[in-house]
Amino acid sequence: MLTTPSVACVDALRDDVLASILLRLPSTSVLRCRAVCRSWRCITTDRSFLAALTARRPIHILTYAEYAPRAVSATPLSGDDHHPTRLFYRTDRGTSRSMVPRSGDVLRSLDGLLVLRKRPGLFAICNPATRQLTHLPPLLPPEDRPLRFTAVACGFYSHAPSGEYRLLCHVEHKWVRYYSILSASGGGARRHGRRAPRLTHKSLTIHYSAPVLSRRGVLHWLVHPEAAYTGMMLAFDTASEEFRLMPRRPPERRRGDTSRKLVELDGELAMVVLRQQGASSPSSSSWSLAVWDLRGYGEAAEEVWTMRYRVELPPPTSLSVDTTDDIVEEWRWLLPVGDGTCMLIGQGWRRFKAILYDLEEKRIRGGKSSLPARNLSPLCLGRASCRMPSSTCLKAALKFPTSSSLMIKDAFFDRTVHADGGV
Amino acid sequence: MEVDKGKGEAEETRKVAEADRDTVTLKSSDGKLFEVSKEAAARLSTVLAGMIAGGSIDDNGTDLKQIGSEALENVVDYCNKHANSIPSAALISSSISFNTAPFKEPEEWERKFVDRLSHDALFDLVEAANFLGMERLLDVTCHKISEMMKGKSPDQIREVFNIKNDYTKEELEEIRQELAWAFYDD
Repeated sequence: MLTTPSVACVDALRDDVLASILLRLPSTSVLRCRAVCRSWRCITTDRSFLAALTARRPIHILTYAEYAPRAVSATPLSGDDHHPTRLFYRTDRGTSRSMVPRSGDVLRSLDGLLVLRKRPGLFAICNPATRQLTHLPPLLPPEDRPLRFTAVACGFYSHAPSGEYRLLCHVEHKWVRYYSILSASGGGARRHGRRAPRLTHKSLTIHYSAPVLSRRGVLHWLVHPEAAYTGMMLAFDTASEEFRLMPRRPPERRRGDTSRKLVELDGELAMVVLRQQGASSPSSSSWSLAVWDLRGYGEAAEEVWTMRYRVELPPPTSLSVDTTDDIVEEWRWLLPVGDGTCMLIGQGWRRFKAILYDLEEKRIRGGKSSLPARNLSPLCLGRASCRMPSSTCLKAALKFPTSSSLMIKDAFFDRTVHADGGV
Repeated sequence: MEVDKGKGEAEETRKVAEADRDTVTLKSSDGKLFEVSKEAAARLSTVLAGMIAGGSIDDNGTDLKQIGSEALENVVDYCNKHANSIPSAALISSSISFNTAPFKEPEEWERKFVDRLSHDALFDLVEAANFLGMERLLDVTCHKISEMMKGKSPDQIREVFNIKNDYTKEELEEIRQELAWAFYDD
């Protein structure tokens, strides 16, 4: 092929045809294509191209290792490749602490992008596919590290009117509390007019469940500090950037509920509840998954949460290699996958197993019931992911190279890349 | 009045006759005619399906001004071959996957079909498939061209596809540095 002298000119191809050809390449090849010529660079950095590329990639699950070596890894959910690949890890122990995110520092994901917290008040958007990083405008000047300053990332969205990626933050500094909007295109932090409630807990996102972005372009939080005393559900319109309180909160957490998540099913807001019955005697306990949906969305008097269905789940199987271990196995976490119509139901913290449940077809999909747990290095999908569920599940446009070559170097991490759509 | 009515009736009969025919005639940009089974054309091409349904198929050859005779011959050839092929089991079972929208792998005969084409013919065919809304053929041809790009350096890609490098040396260096890792490991 290479030896045949060619007169064919790919320039003759229309851009959309060329784009659909380039979409089929592995991520590294796509990146290399940026160096071919200007028009190829235009195509491969176009936002809709990147979104399509991301959508074509396998879904990965993010895992955190809190202890030596501290790392954030990604494991593909499909295919035969079950090896977690390290996305970030600490390169220089002790001195460059801020360079490597702790588990609590990977906060949100959207379109295959991750929001990282580098230090209090400084967030960045990272694209694991291109390994580029863009800092969001800081909430504080770098030298200013006042006491009692907390900034919580509570929502990451694409602002439709401007096409920018924006991060909604909840800031508390001594007695002053406010929301702030940070844009990837720069321009400084912008304070939102609404008064923010007190952050009842300083552990970052614990009182912010992952928001669900509906097709309406509205963020909803299942758990939110404001809901705690108003009894209503908070929503945020990402186009107008206005908050709104919705009269009906989803049903309260009940005893036996181990995990709850908001999703969107058939265009309606829904809640998925993982529940254990008869928890007192492990041998006789059973597991179920219930789906509730909100009818009459947006019409205050009409809104009502109704249970759509409840299904039995198979009991979790043993994770332990040592059969003499007397560990009670439990389904503990739920992660929405892809567009939210599938739910990953998992067990285990340091090592984990999961089944993928299709909420629309009401069946376990693919027959793949576990993720191998052969990796004994700390693979911790622990408390951290409980706190930040949205970030633990990403659709990343990655071709993960193997081995340690993946290390994202400090130099890289400190580098600001302009958001040209290629973030 | 009478004449008009008669003409209308004739039109009607012609349309019925056309609907009864099981092939459609397509005319390339250079005036060559090709026959293709109506069923296959409608199934494989959204554009042709629309034309057949809308009755805009011309008995004397539907003009496809954007498509040359060589490309159209390949399109027709593909339609005929596809009509005879049985979808493989692999294709059916591929729905069990965690991926949202995986590209379907071309089948063996489809691979052979595009392998014998020259670059020029392949590019013309991919354009034709795009123009006619032939998703499956577009898949197969795009796959073939992407295979030709895979694992190649930008220099090699420019050589294979005869692309002019319109970057300055400095710009190129900048891109290489920005994405240095992508140029080393594979």
